[in-house]
Amino acid sequence: MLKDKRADYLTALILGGPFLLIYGALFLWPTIQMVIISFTDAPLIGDGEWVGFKNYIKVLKGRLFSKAVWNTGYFVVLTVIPSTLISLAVAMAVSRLKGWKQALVMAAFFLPYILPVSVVFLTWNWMIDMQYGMIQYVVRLFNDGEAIALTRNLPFFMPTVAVVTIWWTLGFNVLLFIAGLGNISPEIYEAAALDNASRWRQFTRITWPLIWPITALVLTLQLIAQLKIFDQVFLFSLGGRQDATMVLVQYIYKLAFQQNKGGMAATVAVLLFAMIIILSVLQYQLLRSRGKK
Amino acid sequence: MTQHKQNNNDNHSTANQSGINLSNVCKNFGNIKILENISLHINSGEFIVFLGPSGCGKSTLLRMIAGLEDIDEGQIHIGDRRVDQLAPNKRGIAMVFQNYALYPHMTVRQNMSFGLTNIGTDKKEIIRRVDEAASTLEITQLLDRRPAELSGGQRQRVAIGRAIVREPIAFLLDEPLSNLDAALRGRTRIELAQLHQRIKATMVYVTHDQTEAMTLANRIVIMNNRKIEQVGTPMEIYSKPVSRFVAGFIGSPAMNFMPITQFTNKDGKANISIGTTNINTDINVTDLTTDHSLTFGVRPDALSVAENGKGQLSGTVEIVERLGDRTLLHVRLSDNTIIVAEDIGKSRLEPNSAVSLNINLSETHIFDKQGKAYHVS
Repeated sequence: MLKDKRADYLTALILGGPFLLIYGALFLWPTIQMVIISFTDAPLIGDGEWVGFKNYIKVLKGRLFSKAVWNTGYFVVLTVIPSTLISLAVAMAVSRLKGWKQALVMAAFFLPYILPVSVVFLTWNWMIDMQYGMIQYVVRLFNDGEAIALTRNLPFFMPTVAVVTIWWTLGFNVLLFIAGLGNISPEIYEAAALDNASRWRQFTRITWPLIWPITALVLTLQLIAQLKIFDQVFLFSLGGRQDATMVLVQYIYKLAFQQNKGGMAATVAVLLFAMIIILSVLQYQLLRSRGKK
Repeated sequence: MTQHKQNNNDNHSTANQSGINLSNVCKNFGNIKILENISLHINSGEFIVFLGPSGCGKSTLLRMIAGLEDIDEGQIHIGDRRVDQLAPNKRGIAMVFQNYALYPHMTVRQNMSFGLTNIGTDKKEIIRRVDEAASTLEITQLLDRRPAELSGGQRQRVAIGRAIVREPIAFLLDEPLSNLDAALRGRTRIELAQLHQRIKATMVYVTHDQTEAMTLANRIVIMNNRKIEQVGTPMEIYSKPVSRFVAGFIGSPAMNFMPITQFTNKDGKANISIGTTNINTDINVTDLTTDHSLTFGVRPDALSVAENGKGQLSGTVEIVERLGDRTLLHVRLSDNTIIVAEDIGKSRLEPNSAVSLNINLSETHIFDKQGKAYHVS
């Protein structure tokens, strides 16, 4: 059917316009602003003088920045791969259930995901409380009957926050994996059973390769999410030595809102932005090419 | 499987080694009976086809032989081993699935070798068997491709190849041609028949397509309503159906059924009336006692146009279907029953013309109220 080209453009403009406008105003423009501010000595509110790369040199040489990069990286290592593997295991178990049992168990795993971080923090803060937290029963088993302040001892801090984060965000990954597993035809497993493939071999030779695209997606989404970690670390470190457990977004927060250094905060934000883009694109491409082999 | 064959001692005939025996097999899903008291012996090397309408339990029965479904009662023997409690891979069978169930991430070669690799077959032996099967099925040039790069017909061959390399005691095929287009289905059917003649393995084949069943089978098992309705060679089933269901299910166009208005049992032969026409048949009805709710059955190819106008049945032609080599006439009889008769390709008849039909009495049947069939003996 032939149609007036101008009518097509008008339709496209009406449908796409609002989104482009909002995207431009709320994302593109601020992003450009952020990059510009990172080259000035602006405070949190108001303009600043152009200082060139001075902010970048200062940030990159700073002790707290490397601490924050290290802590963020450590947190990513503690969460991304374990969370992905646990999600896959849970999804495989849940997808074996049928009917209302599956719905119930799935809901149980998904429930934490809809909780706000403050609720998650308070719940777990009780759970790990030195005096009456249930987690301490387990801790005492391994520590000669002594309780440990898990968020007040540096070696335990990140692992504890990592466990809480995995528990909190597991549901969504499980959902992605269940959808992926549902796409593998049951006939393939029947064929594999007839082909003498043991359960383990069915997992390594059938499930794992076929679920790989979902695994790559989950790993990448996790990487992006965990590089932006802030809330849990901030909340659990309240009242402690916050500089020791500083993560990157928290550092931005500190520079901008506690030290009124808008230019410096923008600099760290630009660096984090670049890091996330480079790492996630690199990881996704790497994982995809691995899957194709 | 090879081992199993070797373990059999010499006084077992080969017939026993790959025959399949089902005795009183039952299957329920919850309270619903899926299969009731299925007993069947499949001979070694036989090509047997399970045929029936959808939902009759034929695929379930095949899956029970494969071990993909449990059985609730009865026993299954493959060769002289009882297998109904064994895992699918211990039964020595190979299966070709309706949707082929190829491993999408593996090449054709990997697909075909997977089963052998799992049991630790020697690498050289795997290569030999895969190459041999590939050349039999003419898919050698496809060995490095993945299933997504193959056409439906090629995937189907790979699925069969995957079964062949395992050298199974028996092949189980679940509607393997149903995803192919008509032309390819016809060709593949012939290739399957050739393959069976060449490797002479026991094949159990499930289909709802009577052409496949008639052309491929040594024997057909007609299933209906959770039970086996009839077991027999294609021609036995076509010419001596045991029930009205079988008579109506096999044959295209279907058998004509006409209500019998009057019935007398004359010295064991049936004399009947269809509408106002009296017919003295040779149908053996010695043990038929009821004389109501009887149906007369005759296939379209047993009805022919009586040129002299003096046939047993007369009516008006409603529809003329010209198929080239023959013509199908849809004829309305005086009692408003519509029957189909076959005429020659160059039939002179047109809609609305009067027609008189001869019945080939040696190919007629009577069905009683329960559907039991009586034939000319």
